[in-house]
Amino acid sequence: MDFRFSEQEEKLRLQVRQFCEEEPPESFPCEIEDEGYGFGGWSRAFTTRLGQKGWLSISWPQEYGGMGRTVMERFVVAEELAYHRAPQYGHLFGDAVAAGLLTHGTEAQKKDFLPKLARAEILFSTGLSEPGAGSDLLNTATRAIKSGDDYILNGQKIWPTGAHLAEWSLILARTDPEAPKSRGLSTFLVDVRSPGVTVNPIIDMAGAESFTEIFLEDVRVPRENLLGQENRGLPLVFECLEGDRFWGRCLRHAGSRKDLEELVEYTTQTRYNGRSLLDDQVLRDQLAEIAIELEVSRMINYKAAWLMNQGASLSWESSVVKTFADELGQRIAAIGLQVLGPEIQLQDDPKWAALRKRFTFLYNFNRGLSLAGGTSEIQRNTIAMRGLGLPRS
Amino acid sequence: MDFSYSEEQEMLRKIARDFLATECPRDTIRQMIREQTGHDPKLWQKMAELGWMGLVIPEEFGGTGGSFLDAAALIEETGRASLPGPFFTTLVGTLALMNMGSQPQKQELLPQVAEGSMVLTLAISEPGVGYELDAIRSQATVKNGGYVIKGTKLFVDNADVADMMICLAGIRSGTGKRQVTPFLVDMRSPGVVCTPLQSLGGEKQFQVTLKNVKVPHGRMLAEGMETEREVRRLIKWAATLKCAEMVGGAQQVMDMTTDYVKERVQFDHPIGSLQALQHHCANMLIDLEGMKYITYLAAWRINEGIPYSKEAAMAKSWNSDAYKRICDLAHQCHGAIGFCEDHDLPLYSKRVMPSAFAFGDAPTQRQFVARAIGL
Repeated sequence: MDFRFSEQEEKLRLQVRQFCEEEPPESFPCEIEDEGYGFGGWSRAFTTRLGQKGWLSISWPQEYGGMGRTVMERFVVAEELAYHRAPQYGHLFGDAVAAGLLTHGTEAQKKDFLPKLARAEILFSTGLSEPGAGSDLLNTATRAIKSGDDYILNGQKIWPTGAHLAEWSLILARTDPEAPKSRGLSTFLVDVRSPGVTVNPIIDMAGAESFTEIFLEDVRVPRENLLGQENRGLPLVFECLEGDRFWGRCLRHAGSRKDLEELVEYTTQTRYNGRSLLDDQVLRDQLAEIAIELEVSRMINYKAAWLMNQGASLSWESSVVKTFADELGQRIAAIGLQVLGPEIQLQDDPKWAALRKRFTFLYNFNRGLSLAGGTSEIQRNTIAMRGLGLPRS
Repeated sequence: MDFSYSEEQEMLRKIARDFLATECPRDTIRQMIREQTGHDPKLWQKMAELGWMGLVIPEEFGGTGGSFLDAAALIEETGRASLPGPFFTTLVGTLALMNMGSQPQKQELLPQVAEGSMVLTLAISEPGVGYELDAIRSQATVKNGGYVIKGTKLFVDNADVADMMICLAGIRSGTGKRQVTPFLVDMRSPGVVCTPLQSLGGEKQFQVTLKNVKVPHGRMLAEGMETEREVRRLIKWAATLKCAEMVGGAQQVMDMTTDYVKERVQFDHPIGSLQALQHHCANMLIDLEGMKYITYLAAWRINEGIPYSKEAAMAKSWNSDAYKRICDLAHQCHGAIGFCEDHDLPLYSKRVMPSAFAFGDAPTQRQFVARAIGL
């Protein structure tokens, strides 16, 4: 047992820390604000800068624009960026697609897409859910019909994050309606600037424009943009999502450590009803509990990163990562509100304006954490069936 | 980064698991709990022969010089088996001797512990006092070159079979400053009176009254050290080992529950196919994963000599609460059969609160954590 990072990993962490000091992440403009998952806001400018540093493709092979380094090194970079609330959301879905490309892409696809993804010349969204297929991807209705050297896509996708900001989307569509549901789906790399594609942002209950709907109307997709084998799209998507479930949630402990530090600072400096918040035993207990849960979350996340670093693919472990992180995020938001109290609404106090604004946003947004990327209920089904071997319901 | 036990530790665990399954099956445990002492000297001797008592004792004192992590690995297994008896307190007592004992004390006592002829227990809490050293009222005074101790100790495990008790009592130094100090008290000393308590989970706990008990010179621990700091460290080690014990127990409860819901058929299906129960089981596994890694983190830090007080407090808080949630859900999954006295589940679920109380309960640990994060 050893919970230290290697010398090389620590060296890389220092480089990231130095980068954040020299080029403060908050100085980069964001198209979508920080939603509290731990990977900050969605920023093309910052993502591009990360691409220049080579940090979007740390663990990819060098021949495809990567740095050929380890998964753990990639994790360390992401973790350090998260603590600095750097906006690294922009490449999250590209990461999932890159994972699919690396294992299932043709040589031509890898040579074409990966270097561009590594430099953030293109960004991706993932178009999976549909109005009639939320958690239930088996009932995907979007159709892809072969026509000469192309496929023609028709259908509607809903909830992709950032599809209105990204150039490309990974689209799941039905190629064989006669086959059993799980064996008739394929994945396509779709340029959303193609004729017939319409992307509309959807405003969420926190007021953010982060997720979208995509309409596909006779969209022509060249055959070489089929990712993986025809009709084998579903396992590929699950594989990509597996990584995405981890990478999308594995930074909670780092991002929220800063939230906790700020709440502690507020508590030590604030009086309410004539006494210091420090004397409120309930708040002390709740903040201590958050500190403990962040540490538990950190260890759960490290365990999964360690498994991946050895080349193992995650199964139920990423569902544990996600469920714990998302529900912890909700508890942090709730306790943050409790600490900040009704005065959270006084957002003109320069000292606490940023903290109050952040928690006002999280108060509303945190409800979505346990829904996005597979609900906590679906995650628990996965944990029960794959982690414990319980029979299918 | 490495989340795995070493090969040797895995072997230790495997041997312990197999040994306890054969030598200490659950029917035997239930029998031991019903009997007066809850301690089986024959089993104890076999454990000593396996090297368990000497696991952390240096070779020069008759042990095998194992590490704190080795001890945590073994305790995880005794927790899984819900082994009753004084092994836990003997191990913690051994750590006290190793870290606070003088060379002559170690030379005299550690070899006896290693060969299985010395059972140790701990006397910390008192009526109205948990683990807050400043509140401890038992008092030692210097008399005729030795000491005399007066006081009442609570929740002393297996006091009736222990040979020696590590007992905390205040003593005034030459400058008049009172310092809580551990003493080695021979349980056969005149004036030591053990009264069994009605325990929560079948463990054998006692109130021990010390009526002017004479303790000879040379039986004070931590002489010349920052005594209270050493005692606080010992309590954190004990709390961390208690966490490892809870991890083992929780793993067993998880396995038992998983097996049961796969086999038990109702409505023509195994009940494990019902999502309500699947989600109970998933919640148990999430809590268990957290228990393991926060415990390993604290144990590893102790092992490496990296500051560990905060992590140990975090582990004890999390494990105390999570183990309770796991047992609550396990009972819900088992239904009425798990509610029977002869079922294995109560062997674990009845001990949740005693484990949670031991070495500081969750709210107490969180008070410590609150201070540690700057509150």
